[in-house]
Amino acid sequence: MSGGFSQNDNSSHRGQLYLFMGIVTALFLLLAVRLFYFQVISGEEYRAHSERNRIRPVVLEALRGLILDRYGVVLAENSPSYTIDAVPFETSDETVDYLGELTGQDVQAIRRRIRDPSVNRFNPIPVQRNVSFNIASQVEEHLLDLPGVFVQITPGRMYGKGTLASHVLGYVSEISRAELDGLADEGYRSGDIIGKLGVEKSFEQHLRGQNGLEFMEVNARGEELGPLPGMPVLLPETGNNVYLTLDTRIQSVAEEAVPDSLAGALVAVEPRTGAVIAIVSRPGYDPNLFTEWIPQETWDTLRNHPLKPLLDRTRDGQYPPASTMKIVTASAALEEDLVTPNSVFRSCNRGYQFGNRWAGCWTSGHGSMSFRDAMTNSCDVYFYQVGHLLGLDRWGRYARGFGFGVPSGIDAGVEQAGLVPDADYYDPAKNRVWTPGKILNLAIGQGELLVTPLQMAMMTAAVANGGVLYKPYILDRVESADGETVTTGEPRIRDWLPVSVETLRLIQDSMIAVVNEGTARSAQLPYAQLAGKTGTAENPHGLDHSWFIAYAPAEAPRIAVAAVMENAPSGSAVPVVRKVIDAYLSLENRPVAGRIDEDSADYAIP
Amino acid sequence: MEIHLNRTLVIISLLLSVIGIIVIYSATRDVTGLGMSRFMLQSMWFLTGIGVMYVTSVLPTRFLQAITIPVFVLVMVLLVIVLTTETVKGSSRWIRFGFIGIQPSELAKIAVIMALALYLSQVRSNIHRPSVIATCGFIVALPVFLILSQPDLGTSIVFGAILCGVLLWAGLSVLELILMVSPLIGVVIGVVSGFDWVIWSVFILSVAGIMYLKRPPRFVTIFLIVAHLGVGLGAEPLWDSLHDYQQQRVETFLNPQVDPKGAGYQIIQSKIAIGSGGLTGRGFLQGSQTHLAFLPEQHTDFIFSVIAEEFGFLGSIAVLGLYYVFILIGINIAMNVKSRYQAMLAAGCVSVFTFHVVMNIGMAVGVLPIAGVPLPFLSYGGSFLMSSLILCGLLLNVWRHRFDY
Repeated sequence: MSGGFSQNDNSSHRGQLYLFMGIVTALFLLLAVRLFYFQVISGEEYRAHSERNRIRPVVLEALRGLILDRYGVVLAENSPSYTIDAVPFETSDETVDYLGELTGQDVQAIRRRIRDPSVNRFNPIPVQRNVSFNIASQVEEHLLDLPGVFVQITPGRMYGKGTLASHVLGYVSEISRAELDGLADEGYRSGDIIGKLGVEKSFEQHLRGQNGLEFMEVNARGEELGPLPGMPVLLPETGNNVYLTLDTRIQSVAEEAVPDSLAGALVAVEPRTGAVIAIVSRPGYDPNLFTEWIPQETWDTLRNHPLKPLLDRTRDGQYPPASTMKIVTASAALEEDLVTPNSVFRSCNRGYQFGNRWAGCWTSGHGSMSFRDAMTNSCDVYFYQVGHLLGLDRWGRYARGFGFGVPSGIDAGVEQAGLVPDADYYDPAKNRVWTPGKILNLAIGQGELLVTPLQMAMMTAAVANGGVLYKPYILDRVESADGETVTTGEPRIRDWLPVSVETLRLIQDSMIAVVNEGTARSAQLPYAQLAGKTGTAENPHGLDHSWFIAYAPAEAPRIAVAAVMENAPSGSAVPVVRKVIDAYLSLENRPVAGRIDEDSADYAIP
Repeated sequence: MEIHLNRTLVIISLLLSVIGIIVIYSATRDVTGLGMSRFMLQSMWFLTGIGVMYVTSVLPTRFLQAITIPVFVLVMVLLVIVLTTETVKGSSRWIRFGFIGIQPSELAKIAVIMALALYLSQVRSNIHRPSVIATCGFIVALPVFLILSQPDLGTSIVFGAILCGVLLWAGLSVLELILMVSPLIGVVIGVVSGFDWVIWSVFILSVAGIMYLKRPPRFVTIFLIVAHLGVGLGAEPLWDSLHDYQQQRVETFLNPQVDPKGAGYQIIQSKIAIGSGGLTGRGFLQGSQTHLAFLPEQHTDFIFSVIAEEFGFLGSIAVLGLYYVFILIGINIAMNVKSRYQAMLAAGCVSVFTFHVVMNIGMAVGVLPIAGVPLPFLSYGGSFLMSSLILCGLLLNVWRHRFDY
């Protein structure tokens, strides 16, 4: 070592470079030896292994998270079911034919699935889920003649409460081609189960969990010999449990309150948070139907049913709000100083002459009326005049301010926006002509105006809580399988009603009067003061729709409800809403979970 | 003989690239809808790359020297810009130019080699002077810092290899290099051994032994003592202050077996794929282990496993042999050119290739941690193939112009 640090002696330094060359050579030798060891020495045994036996990766499907109500009542859970899997690479066309014969499934459909060029040929894919015990045992018996095919017990989805809250829960089904393309990076494979609608879809990422993987040895006859020694098993991870804000007890009461003969919707929320207590669309359907192969007849029956059970009326049903809209029209008029609480309008003599048009009132004449009387008795003539004074622009501004014409912003799923027509809407080119008389219809909630029951419930809640327009939410919390909170749903304020405290107080008082002495006397409860407003929507296609919105107790509201019954006599919605409010208020010893202080009535507009 | 060196380099690099394209086809054809597109893209990059390699090989040496500083500055700017781009799988590595994306970190390898070669060929002073080593360290530290911010651990380690290689050629001895990196080795030993003080003492004694033998200059001695003291006293508390997941990440990096879901799983998969290849392999497109396994990086970082499975020991040893010959030729070029600048340039290129090949194959056979280091010419990736071909072009350039000085 001639002074490595002192002087850069050429010949000795050249030695260092040869040393480097030697190190590189040694490293390559090491790699070569390692390869030799793996591939030739221990590879020998492994190779024999792979010639005699196959190694098959078996996906261990994760348990999907539960869906529960806010108190932990289970709404959707898992139950074991049989799934037939096939490894495309190992499955010949003859095998497919035979499999189709055994299971009675369409051979072409199986073939399409396992010959799909985009699937990994070496990974097993589910060919048929939820097969019966009989078919599963048949296939199990004939495995020798079905190389590449095997039967697995996988978690199937079960909705233990049948049709309860079916529209909220949604359902799961096999992933579609389009979904698979969009989710290529998320680890889905062909034949996997995915949430298609409702909560199942909205919270898919929480619910799905993560599949595991195990390598099984399979002999040449297709029999599984057991897990491959030395390979760790990647255990599946159970999905998170999703707790909804729903109260199953109230949900059942609400669903049963809607007569079987009727179609309708009801939404009940907490006025001080926007949390959904019950959300009902009737008739419902059984989401269990969708988790397995649906026979065409069942599907047709559901689709062609005159009452459209698949339609979620709470958010996709759009109805004219009828007289419930008078809350908005009245607020606008008070706020714009067009009327005072005591001002009296031209007497109602069965109707109102506007230009050359006669607009009728719903009854034989109310006489001259004050604001309060007009609200209590729902006098159309009073509101025709108010609407006329307001004009389309001002009226429309208030309608949107009360949350109409825009989706309510619920945290799960899609919803309709409804329609609040404005000047742009009336475009003669689109065959929509504006005439000044149209404001009369709009002012009483008829005409082109359309709202969803969900929007209506949120407006009712806003009136009840002193003017805060919340976005409704249905997710109470998400917990991991071992009980750790992953995320929680929070009240989200959407806007404030564009009205003063005084105006709101007048509206609230008039809604109390509607229940005490007006059109909704049958809604009264002996122990709590309700405030409400009825509506009867003219339906050009058939019988009228009956609305009722209400909240209670009037002095410190804990529940706000909106309900609409299709093609039903005026007032049909009143007993339905009454039952729901009664059930909610009378349920003793309710566990208190994340609620704002019950006793405080002090929640004014900030 | 002289001409043959260059010709062999060209043949090997083209051969490996073509093998790469074929294997990429095999590795990606079972992945949803991507097989053909990756194969085509890599082919296009390859055809372009041949042209770029040729141009690089004929550029006059003076021209290379003249563009060194502008290139270095430009690449640093690109490295800063890339940090502002949107992240893909947790890191920002690509800058998009129209429909192609490039990785500035690949260009940075070339820029750093050029800069180090230029600097070390111009300083007349002794390589052992602190200022010289510090300047070299700075040239390397800047891009490393920017690349670590992306974050891209694998690519940033390459720069350490470049620095070591260039300093070796500049006159440092192998033992001196080991001394230089010994504090880092100390950290690794500490973490792996769970801060066992017996193992630590043995390590420190060996470092002290080397120092006694080599008698480094005073500043080096002081630096090493301070660094080792710092590691010895500071590493454990610092380690304990890391979050669990951070510790886990480091532990997985050093010992993938502890994480059977992520990196550990890849290693196991890779070993099985290689093992099942046997002597002659399962045949092209027939490597079921490769295709069925959860090997997300099989066309990039784990491409060697695909080769080993489908073409067996004969195939993998042939590829290994090609790399060995390639690197030996590179070392020969770097040892036998007269000009210091050219020697440094070649040394830097050789370091990159050596590091990538040993690291990648070592990872595939499970002897080295998974650092996300791809295999030159073979792995999928346009920027990486391009930078490999340019580095090869630089080697060719050096040998072509070896009589110019």
